[in-house]
Amino acid sequence: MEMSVTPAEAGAAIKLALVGRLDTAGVDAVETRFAASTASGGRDVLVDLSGVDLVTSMGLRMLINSARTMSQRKQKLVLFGARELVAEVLDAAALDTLIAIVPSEAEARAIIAG
Amino acid sequence: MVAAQAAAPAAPPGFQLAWQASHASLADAQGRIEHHLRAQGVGDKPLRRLLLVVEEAVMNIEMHGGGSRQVRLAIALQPDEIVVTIEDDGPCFDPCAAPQPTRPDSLSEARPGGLGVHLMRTFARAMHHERRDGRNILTLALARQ
Repeated sequence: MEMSVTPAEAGAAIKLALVGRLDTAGVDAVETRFAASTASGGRDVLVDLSGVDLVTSMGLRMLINSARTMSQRKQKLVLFGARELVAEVLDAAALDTLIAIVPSEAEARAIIAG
Repeated sequence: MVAAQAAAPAAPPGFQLAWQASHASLADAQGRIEHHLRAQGVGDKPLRRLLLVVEEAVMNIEMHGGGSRQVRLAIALQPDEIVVTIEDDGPCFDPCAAPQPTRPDSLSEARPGGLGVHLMRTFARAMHHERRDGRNILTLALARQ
């Protein structure tokens, strides 16, 4: 699992892109950086899941934990781009009742801006 | 260290692994499972579903087993199904009997636990647990396509 951060203007939402499998090994690889990136700076965050091909309950836990921290700080977290099995897992877990999940980056940015 | 064992010649084609449960050995096991299934022509989607349920089952073994547990896994490919059997030597834990997780109303109420079993139930066609000779034996059947 790899994570990249797209630089943004001061105060603007940052975009994190996850690539690979968000399973136990993937979470071990990125969780600290993911938590730090979502918690710091007081910014809203978009998470690009288009490069993720598997998410397990450990991955869901990582996303929920970050979303909870951000929510407490009045920051928005929006997930977008989930494909195939990843979208099915997010749906099975009813994650969209807790975290905004949309198909595209444009829709994600619209939520951030709204 | 994950030990790969060849199936007995007279048995139907199969795949077996044994390891001590840990994050590192799980990742190694998943790599071996993927290598085997791709060599057998299993496609991406059923492969990932299988890796998902295997991880959830093994993480439950770690969580409920109280210490490093010996895990044994076997995979049998049938024309329209993949059957995976996961055994461990931990205390009796039957995921089939686990209650459905309660859907939280908010992030502040969301707590870990239960999602793994829920995902196993969602993506496996069938799930069966038995306790035999001091071992948990969990069998899951998944669609091959």
